[in-house]
Amino acid sequence: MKRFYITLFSIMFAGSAIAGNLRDGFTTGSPEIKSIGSLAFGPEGILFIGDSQSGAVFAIDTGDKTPSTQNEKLEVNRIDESIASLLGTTVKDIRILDLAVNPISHNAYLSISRGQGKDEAHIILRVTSPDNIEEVSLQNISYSKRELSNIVDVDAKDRRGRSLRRLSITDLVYHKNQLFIAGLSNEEFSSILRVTPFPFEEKEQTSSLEIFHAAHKRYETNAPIRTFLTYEMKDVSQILAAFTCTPLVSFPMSEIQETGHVKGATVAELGSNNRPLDMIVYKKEDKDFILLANSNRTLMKIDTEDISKQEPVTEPVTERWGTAGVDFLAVPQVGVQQIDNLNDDYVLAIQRAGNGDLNLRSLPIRRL
Amino acid sequence: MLGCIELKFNRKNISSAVLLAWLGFSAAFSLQESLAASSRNSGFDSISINLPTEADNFKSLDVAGVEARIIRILESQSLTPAQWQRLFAVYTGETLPDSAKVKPAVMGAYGLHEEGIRFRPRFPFVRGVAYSVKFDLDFLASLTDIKRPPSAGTFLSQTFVLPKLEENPSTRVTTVYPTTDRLPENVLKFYLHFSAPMSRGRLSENVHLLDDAGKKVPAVFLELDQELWDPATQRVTLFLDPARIKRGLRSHNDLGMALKVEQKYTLLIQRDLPDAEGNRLVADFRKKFSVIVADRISPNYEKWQVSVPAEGSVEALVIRFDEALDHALSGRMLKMRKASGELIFGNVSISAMETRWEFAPEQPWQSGDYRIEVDAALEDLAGNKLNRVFDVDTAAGDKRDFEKQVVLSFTVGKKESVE
Repeated sequence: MKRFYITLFSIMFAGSAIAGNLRDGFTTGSPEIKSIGSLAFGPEGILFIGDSQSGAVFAIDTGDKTPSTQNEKLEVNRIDESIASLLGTTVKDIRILDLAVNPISHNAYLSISRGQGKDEAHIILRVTSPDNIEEVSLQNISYSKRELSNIVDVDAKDRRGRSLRRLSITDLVYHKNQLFIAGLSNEEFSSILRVTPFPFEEKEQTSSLEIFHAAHKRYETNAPIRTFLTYEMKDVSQILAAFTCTPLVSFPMSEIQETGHVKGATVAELGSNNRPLDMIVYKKEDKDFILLANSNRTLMKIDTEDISKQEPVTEPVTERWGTAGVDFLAVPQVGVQQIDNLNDDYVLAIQRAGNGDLNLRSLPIRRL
Repeated sequence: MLGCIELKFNRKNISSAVLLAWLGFSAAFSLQESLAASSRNSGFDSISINLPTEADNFKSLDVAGVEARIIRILESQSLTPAQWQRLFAVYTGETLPDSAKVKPAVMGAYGLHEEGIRFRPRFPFVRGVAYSVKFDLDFLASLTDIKRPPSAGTFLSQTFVLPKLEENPSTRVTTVYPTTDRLPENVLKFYLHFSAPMSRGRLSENVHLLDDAGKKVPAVFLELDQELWDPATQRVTLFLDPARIKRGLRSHNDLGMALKVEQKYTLLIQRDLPDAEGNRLVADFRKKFSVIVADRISPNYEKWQVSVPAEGSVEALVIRFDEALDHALSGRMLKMRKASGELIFGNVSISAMETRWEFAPEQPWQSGDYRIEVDAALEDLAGNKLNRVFDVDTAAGDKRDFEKQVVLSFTVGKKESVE
């Protein structure tokens, strides 16, 4: 019994130590966030926000830490109309840029752009129930900021300090005290994945790497990452990235630490005239699966074990419009634009229905 | 300020008439009040809705004429946001929704002042969008314990549309790079420059590639969630879909190159593309070009010609490239230094269809040795870098090294030389 108490005490102590550490470097105030694009949740209700216009990533404490034990659906029909109405404008004037679910509270967070040109504004909305969509205040909050200062080097600017160069943050992933940032430059078509430790440290520690992939063993190229995720395979952390030109590429995370250039294995090509939009890892019957949303294909389900077994794609596929590489199951859901894990029973999706409505839907995992 | 608001004013005494109006029988820009003029003693009769004004930049909407005693009672109540919204709600659209569940009210903040209640929407009201306002007199009565006279309606309602500004187009496309009218089959990107800041999110509907017959070429540009504007939103980058350019990929194999050799094309920027003020462009812009064979060779810096200026002059140093290079990258990827490493400042200009790079120093050239550091990531029009082609064919032994830069050395004041 005594031993039990000691163990319990250690766990509690360790837990509180981690909690304190994660907010190292946080300050209270109103961060100057110029644009809000990609969102990703870390632990303890910390939300990462990609601000392409500032060339920075913010970590904010949402304070949204009440655990949800219910594995319920979260659905809002015609969510674009609801958001437009809340923000006092029309559907054509708003854009839903990203979706992230708080893994503790299971509330859905949406990054929204409202208006155009000089009137364009960016906000975060939180969907807590079908009847409640509220703004996440960015005033007087606890936050920290990591400037991606190497996006534009000083010499790149002319004497008046102007630069036309910009990196758009396309996706963010938090994994074990590291934030992975995928970006797209407006001048160079290349894959640069940045990695920065979290909590953010004062000294710049961001490292970046170029990822090359091969097409049919012969052509070697790189491209910006559109969406990516991390997953564990036999206790090895892996990165699976979908590129703007459709290949799905996998490489072990350990390679990032060693070199500025990584050659990833192309595990699949997802078909012509199709763009990968978003992907997640979900658990079903104790197995990990990847769920991938596409612009011109159904949802695709991939067994992570198949990825580890997959030999790099080498032979051209002769069948027109076909796909190549790892086996996948076509899940009969179309029009899915964004996905995230909602709870043990559901995956949350923003989905364009056949009648044109844009809905927030909960897809039951038992049917995936 | 009613004069600046498009609306018709209709005074109706009976709430049933207003109900009919909600059901869609009302004119789009009508205004109704269901306030009975007879109930002078309730304190409700003077209440009216004041529309947003331009002087206030359409940032607020007031319910005015509320008696001081009612304001005091409301002040003491500390209403919750839900109660405020039940009392005084603004919705988008020409009619009030059947219930808040169908359509949420516009979010914003409520405040009390001497003569009324002010609603400040989270974002200013937008010109051209219809709004419907509801002020619930019944709920006011229950909150304040003041009896609503039966002759008064159960609520006030009003619909308004803020007039759109007259269009005043002044923004135009200044240049599209590459400026040459002969582009390789595997050209990677266009840069569109505008004379004033632009709006985001409207490119795909307004920028098209047309074939010789004027027909739109489908699936030619890379579709992205984010448009690739510069910080000032005066330049945007359009990538051609690299999945069709890169050899070995499915799209390339299935669909082939988007551009066909020897064919003529027009890049069309329609004037409906809005600038940051929401105005259309002055005119459509067309860039016509013909397509030549794919370029799968890196620029050869050994063939560049460097003209070295005279000592003591502020003449430009000129480099003539062996082929047209990327406009944006050649503007920032060549750096002038003294041999000692000191950075030399000057103005860079790129001309002759991006084959000529000029550097005019801020200070006269001094005699001595100089170096031009060229980032090896500098590209030609097809994305081939100095150190690596766009899609390396390993079987053909394409060069692929990771050298970061190439250095061109020259001497001012002694013998002209280029290494």
